[in-house]
Amino acid sequence: MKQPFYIDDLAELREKLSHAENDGELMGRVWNSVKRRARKAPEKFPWFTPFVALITGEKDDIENAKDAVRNYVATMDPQSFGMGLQFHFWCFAFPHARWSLYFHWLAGMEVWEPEEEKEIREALLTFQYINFFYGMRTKPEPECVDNQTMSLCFSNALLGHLFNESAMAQRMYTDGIRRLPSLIGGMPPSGYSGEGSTYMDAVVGPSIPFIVELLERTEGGNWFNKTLPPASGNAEAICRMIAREWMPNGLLLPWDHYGYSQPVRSCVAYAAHRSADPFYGELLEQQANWAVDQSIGWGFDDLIWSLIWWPKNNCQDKATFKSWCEPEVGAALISDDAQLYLMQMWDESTPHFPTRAHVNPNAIVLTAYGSPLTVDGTPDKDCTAFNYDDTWREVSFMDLGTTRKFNFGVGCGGGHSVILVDKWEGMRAFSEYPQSTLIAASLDEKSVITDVTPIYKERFTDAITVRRRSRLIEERFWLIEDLASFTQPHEVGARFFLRPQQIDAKRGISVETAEGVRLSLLPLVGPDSSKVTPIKGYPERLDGASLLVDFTQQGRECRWLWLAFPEATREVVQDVSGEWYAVPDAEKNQDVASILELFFQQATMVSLTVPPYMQRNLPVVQRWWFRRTINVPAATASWLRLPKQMFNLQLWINGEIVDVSSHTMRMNLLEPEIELPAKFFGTEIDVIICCDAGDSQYGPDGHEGSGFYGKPVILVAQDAPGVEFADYQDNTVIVRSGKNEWIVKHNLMEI
Amino acid sequence: MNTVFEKMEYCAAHAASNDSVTLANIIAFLRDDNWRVRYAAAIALGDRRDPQAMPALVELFESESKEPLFSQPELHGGIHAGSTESLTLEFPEGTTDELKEIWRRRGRVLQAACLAIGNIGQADAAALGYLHRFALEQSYDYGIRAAACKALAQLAIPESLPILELAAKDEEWCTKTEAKKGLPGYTP
Repeated sequence: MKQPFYIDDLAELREKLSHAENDGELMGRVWNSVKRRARKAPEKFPWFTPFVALITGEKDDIENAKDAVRNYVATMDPQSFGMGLQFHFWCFAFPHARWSLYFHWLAGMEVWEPEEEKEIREALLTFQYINFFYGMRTKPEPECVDNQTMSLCFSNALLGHLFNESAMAQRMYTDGIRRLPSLIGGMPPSGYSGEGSTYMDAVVGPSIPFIVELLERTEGGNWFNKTLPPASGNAEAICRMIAREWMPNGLLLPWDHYGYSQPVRSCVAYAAHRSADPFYGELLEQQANWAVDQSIGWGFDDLIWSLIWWPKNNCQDKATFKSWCEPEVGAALISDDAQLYLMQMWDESTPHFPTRAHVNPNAIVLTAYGSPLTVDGTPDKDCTAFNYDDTWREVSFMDLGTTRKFNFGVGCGGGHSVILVDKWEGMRAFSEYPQSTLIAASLDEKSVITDVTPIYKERFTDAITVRRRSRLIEERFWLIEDLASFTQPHEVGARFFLRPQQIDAKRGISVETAEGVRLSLLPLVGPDSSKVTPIKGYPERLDGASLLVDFTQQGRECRWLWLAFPEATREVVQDVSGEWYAVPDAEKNQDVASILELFFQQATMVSLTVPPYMQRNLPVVQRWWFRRTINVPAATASWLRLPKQMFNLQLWINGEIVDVSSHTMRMNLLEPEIELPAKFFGTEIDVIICCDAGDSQYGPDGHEGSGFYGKPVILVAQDAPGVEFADYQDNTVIVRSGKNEWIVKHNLMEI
Repeated sequence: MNTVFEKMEYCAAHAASNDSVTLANIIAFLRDDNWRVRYAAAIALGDRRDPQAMPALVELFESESKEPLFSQPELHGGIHAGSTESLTLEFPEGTTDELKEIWRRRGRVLQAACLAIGNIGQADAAALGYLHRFALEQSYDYGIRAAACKALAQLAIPESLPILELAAKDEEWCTKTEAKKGLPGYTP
């Protein structure tokens, strides 16, 4: 048997996984859950089957993998008539490369009949040549550096290498491999491609291990740490940025188009394999959600490549989230306990049509105590709030036989928590120029100042200075200062997009999130007149709604100094994640009455942290029922926190159904906290839960194979006195809340 | 050399040759019934950079551009990229196998021929006329417009400048980028 490409020592990999499995390590549990799903439901988890076949070498696993490859090959010709393959071919190139790799692995195991092997090999090669070699050739070289070109060039290089006995393969290899170094080197030194967290995490980051390892195996040398032309990009910097996008609440920064999303892990595992930085290990071992089957490069093998790269014996000391600053891109100020997180972003936006790299000069992201406080992202199809008059575009290169008209307003200044001038919401650049300059940053003092004057000056030629300064103060709250000065008077607006639940406030604006975290945002300097507009359908994720808050002032020199004061109003008092009785409901035909009998007859005890089939040798079915008793503390208010992504959740307490519908959308990203009725305080309650877990990477309602994830706890209300006094005088900020008083020196920015 | 794959392989295998026999064979493949072979032949001729291929490439432009390459309506059905789910499409009544082949190829052969002429580095009036037309033809997929612009930029013929100036305003980024590369003073 040949060594499978990308895996230098199969015996060592088998030993690593076996050892982790036997020792009950996290890596072993992940491997076990992958293997179980590949065996019990191979048609639902096709992307797992080739790896499982490779590791086990068992006949049934091999047949499952061969079927998956055959099924993929059968889709290729029908895909030729799809808008996707014809106009978005890069999305098909990356998965095609991996299916070809998996076919190659199996060929190395000598499991194909010669005739079938020849037929599939020729089909894969021909499909690559007529679709992805074609697609790559009109991606301008060297100008085009993005996730699409990475996908195309990588796929041509990989197939070219794998099947190098073919002249067509050699031709594809020549052009593909030539371009790969400049695709890494074409990235900025920050490692951020400008395309937002989704494309960074789902395509650019995951492509790095494949590209680096391919270059090292074919060209020799170390390509991970090498800084490359033309823009001094570096594979390690890209991996570092992937890790930096990971916020302490388990979500990715809502950076640019798609908003909050779940992190992927394979790129982080690769960085842990190549780097001595313990933070990658921390993300893998302590922070990652291993129940989610996140797509990477348009395929569901993130868990597979995580297992391949995950370093053996990686249980290092706990590392911490650290503040960071990238001069071209942004800075994150993070409290030592990782409870408070601020990011100020100033990455370049795309001139004219900012559909990917949005216009966010000094936009702010705030998260506290696990709860996002600000929002960003994309609106749902019914939300028209960002359809500005000057941001319509009609294109004919994206669909079959028709044009597509859309509004890109959400990518412009009006769609972000930034300064706006003279109500120009469609604010954007119209030519290429440096849009921002980092003025000062101190990670020790947790402060940053960045100037973004150029992007305002292009339209408002009298602009002198537009700057924002952010500070994390004494690990407890933020000060955010805005300065916008012009030679002529303008109407200057400070815009914020906040979570949608507004609560009473004497000054500024206050919101309380569904996770019980409050944010008081009030001006210590600058006028406190604001307009608050609820936006339904923005973002399309999280709450599916937000508050658009506009503070305005008129003048030549406009200033605000904001106090942003977060408070957690709930505290965890009891871990109730263990000792749940679980019953599968494969036919989805049980109800709360009939399930009671089954709890007595066939229940299995599990922890309610991931689906039972990811923990134990249990059926891979979608619907599950759970039951346990919980002692609810005597309190003034109490909540039951459940795992995220419990699809179609139903909850009964002492036989009474509890309405959880308000959590449905939000719990795709966050663990829901369900308020318990007062009559249960101080009592023991009988809790029954029914929910669906994603059980298929492609099937209807399969939720892409993602299961629920979290840790059930009971919370009670805790004291949250709010901002009782806040003032700015004599270059000093004074804030009082409860028994605490903070006195902070703060000199306003100079023009 | 009987199968489509073998013919495509032949083209690629002789893309760096400079003998007249293989050149003649590859030029003959530009007229093959199967478009995949024509596509592979055009790529190989571009790699060979032999001006003797020019008449056959112009002939290919003429025959390909008469076909309803971009006439496919949107069809019902579809699956994710990389999926292993079975896929059944509903074609309009009367869709022939021949038309399906045209829809499969769209502008692939044209793109390869445009790039081939750019690589050859010479274009007669007929070839240039086609490249000018393709560079601006909005009813074609952008891959053809971009390829035509790339070829025109490589050819660097002054009479193409007005075409490239217009194409530099194309709504599609790759097309306009390739066009800009043919304009004076361009720097990446």
